[in-house]
Amino acid sequence: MKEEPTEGLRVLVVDDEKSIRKFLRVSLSAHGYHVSEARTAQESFEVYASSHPDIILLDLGLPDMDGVVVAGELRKRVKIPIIVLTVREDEKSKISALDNGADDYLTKPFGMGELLARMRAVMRRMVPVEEGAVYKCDNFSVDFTKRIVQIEGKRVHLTPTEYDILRILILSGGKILTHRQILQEVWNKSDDSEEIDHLLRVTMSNLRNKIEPNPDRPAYILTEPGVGYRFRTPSD
Amino acid sequence: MIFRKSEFLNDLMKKLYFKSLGLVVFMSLLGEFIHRHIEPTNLVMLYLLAVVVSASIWGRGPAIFTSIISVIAFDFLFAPPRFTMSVYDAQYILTFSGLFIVGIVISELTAKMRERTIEASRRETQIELLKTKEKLQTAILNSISHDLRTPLVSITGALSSILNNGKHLDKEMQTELIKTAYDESTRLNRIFGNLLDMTRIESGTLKVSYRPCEMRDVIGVSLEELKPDLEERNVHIDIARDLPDVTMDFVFITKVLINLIDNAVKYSPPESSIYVSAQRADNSLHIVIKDEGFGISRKDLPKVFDKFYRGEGTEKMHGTGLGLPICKSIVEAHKGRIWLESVEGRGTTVTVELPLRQD
Repeated sequence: MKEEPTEGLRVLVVDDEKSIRKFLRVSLSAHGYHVSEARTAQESFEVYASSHPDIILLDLGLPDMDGVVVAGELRKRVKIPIIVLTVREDEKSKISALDNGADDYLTKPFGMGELLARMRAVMRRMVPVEEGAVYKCDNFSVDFTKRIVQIEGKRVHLTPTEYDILRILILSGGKILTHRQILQEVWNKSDDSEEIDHLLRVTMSNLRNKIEPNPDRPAYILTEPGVGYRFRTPSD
Repeated sequence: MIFRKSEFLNDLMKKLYFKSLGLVVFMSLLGEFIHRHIEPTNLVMLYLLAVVVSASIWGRGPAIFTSIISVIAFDFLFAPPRFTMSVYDAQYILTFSGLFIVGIVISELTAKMRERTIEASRRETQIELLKTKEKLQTAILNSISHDLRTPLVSITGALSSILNNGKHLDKEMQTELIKTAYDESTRLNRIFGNLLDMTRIESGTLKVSYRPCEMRDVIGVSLEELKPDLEERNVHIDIARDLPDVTMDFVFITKVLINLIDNAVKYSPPESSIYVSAQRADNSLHIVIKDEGFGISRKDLPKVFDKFYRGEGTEKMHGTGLGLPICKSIVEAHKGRIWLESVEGRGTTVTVELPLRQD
């Protein structure tokens, strides 16, 4: 995997577990990150103000405030990427953290390689894919002005809904979009009833049939089980 | 069979037959007062009442006994000629039989009802027991998903960092990561130990083996075990110089102290102090662990020794709610006492009192 320079990037680690902060501090410093730490939600706001981080690693199980709320609060104040760390298996908290502005999540326990890759990916996404331009990756291209999708030079005909889903997934630059976010963007529906959820799944399946070389093992649109979808960026 | 031998002996032991006899005497005295005003046959009602009372309170045997002595008492005291066992009128034979048969039937019915009630309450206890068991299992599962995973996160993270990014890490960093992994595996071991101890206590297989121990040793080992957590903490230790060796189970009392000191660390701010002391108080030893932490609310205080109880606001902190109950069981197995004083916002003091044996 290609290593990108992380020299001098500031990362804020928010976790109430001393040992977790410690191994993150040592490992991230070794990769050139400047690490600041906070034990509680309250501290995270204070440390944020004094250390101006470029990226935040946020544990969802903080003692003083619900991590999902903290993610929302931090998102209100800052535009920098937030990666949520959670031991919770339940999808709900991950989804609401993502809905509240987190950029990605990592389920504990995780390996350092995985964390570093995720951090590089969210940092890269900070450079947004511009609408109006042509998106190209491998044999895949989307012309956003003409609404034309081509695979290996051949035009693929998408319905307006299929095209909208593909567009927002590409424009979010590999970030996970939750079901709710897609429903909101494409259908302007905020409730995720079973019916509309089914509609999303069917549309997604049709879209994959049209663009994926092997729809059973998607290469472009990846499923995050129980959470949502993300578009695979070339370096993933 | 109406009488069961074991039941009879059991009732005899509890003096239930004397009580039945007392009841019949009471009814007879009452009859003596009112017999001038009512028909002798109606006095039978008083004795039937005695049978009902004795059947419903004392059970089958005493009820049958009551009906027999009621027949005798009625015959002797009220059936004319009074104060003899003979009767003038043959219809009294009918009254006697009536009294006797009704007495037996009531006894049987009541006994069945009692048995059913006992069976029902036994079932209820069984259900309670199952519920407690289920609660233990849920607690163990919760611990596995949360408490056991937290140390694992650091272990996995630290080791993966060394494995994959060795070239980025200098020797000092590597040592620090290995130390983190080691400390956390010790913590994992401690959590497992607590769960195992609890199951041992639950099943009654906790065995205490006594030997004379030096308090300095016991406290030293406990503090050593918690070293990673105490590194940046201010711990004051005060062990009386004239303490004799104390007979105890070294391993278990160490566990108690580790749990208590760990609590003090967990529930107090990092800059506050922790005090550990061991002093003699008459014929016992007092080990006191004091923190300047968040304290425990009045509402939570009486429940802290209950299994699985977590104080309000501590749900998000790591812990199984087993530490203090385990301490209590261990201390009580040593014939000692443990108590806790706490002021919310000021701190908590836990005292372990162990008897100083003269052997």
